[in-house]
Amino acid sequence: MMERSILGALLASVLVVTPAAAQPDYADAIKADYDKSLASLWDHFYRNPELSFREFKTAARMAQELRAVPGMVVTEKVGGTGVVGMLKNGDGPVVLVRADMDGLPVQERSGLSNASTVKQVGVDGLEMPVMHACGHDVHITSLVGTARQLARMKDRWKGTVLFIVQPAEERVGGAKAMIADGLYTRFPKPDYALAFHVAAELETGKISASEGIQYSSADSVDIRVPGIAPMAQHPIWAAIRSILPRRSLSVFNRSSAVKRVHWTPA
Amino acid sequence: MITVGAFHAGTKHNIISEYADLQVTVRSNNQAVRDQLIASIERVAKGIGAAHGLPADKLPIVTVTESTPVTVNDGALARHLNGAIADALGKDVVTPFRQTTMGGEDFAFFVDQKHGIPGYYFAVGGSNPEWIAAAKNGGKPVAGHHSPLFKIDPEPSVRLGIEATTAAVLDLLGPRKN
Repeated sequence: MMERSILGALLASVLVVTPAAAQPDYADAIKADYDKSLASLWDHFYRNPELSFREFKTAARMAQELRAVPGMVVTEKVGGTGVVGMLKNGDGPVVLVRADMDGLPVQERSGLSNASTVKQVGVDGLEMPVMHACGHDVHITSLVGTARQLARMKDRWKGTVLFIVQPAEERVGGAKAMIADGLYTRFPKPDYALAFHVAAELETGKISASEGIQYSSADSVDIRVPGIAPMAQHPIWAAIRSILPRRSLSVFNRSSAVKRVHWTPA
Repeated sequence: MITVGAFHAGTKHNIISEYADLQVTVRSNNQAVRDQLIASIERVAKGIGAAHGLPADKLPIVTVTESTPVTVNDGALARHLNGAIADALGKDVVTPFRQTTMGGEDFAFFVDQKHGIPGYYFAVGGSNPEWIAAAKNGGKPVAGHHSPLFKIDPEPSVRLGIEATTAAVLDLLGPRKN
């Protein structure tokens, strides 16, 4: 605790002599680009979300936007709907900047004036309402803005930037699909990889990054419990034998209410 | 953390369905715990079936369908870029990281140990401070990700996303590194 208070005192003394808020010289250009172009691009993406691995129009629009950036070499259909924009600027390290682009099968009830009314058939063959309910619209809009800024300021950096428009983050298949399709063999292998996620729990104007674990592992696990068709002589008992494990899996103890439910199917 | 998000079975009151399907998501912060959770789900599911007298060919079937490992930032790179972004955008912009949820991300595949690429993944604030203040004062809660009510304040989110990413790339590829 003492070390922390000494550190705190040091930080406080530094803060006294350091200007409180820096403003990069590119902030005004970013604001101007937002007003002129990115606001309406975001609005377009927000109104037109697409499901995982079905981001055809989003990918086409992203390819079009990246192609319009001077010096950008764009490759489409990397790992399904993925797009790679490569901006080379002399010798130097390679930085990968990734934005994911898929929406979610959610019926929007935000009440916003540009709320999505889109429905789409997903990879599983089911038609679903679609919403950008995770903010990937912000990620791809920002990717376009970042590409424009870096192309504009080529005198301030050397190397290669790979702009990655990734499909199917929500089904955790898109990154794998792009790498399986040769992202690290057909294009220069990155020395660094960057990405961000917009966060509803964090207030605007702040960023936050861990020096270790940022997000958890996620595994989708399917459990299929087979049923046993009732036999002629003992229909109820056979049915119960197949149902009990299902109930037990979900409640782990059988209340009297659950027991009564068990008897109803016959 | 284990969540059973879906349970589907049957078509009608008086028909015993052929299958009951549970869809479960499993979250963890390290591989050992992850392996243990998944193995336990299979053990418990099959064990309960066996305890109730199901024949071996009718025991529950457990399948892992989609997976992503823990997303881990490279410590040295994260410390460096947190500092570079604070220098470029202002010290008050970079706030200490707290893991408040067990959200997952497949960015891990770009940087996992197989590729040996250091990664830097950051969160950009998306909720207007007034929304957060209102929620704290008993008003409408801030809707979480994946909610039908989810919303983001687009202009500050998009602009800060660009500013921070630009600052990071300029630092990594700027004169100091070459």
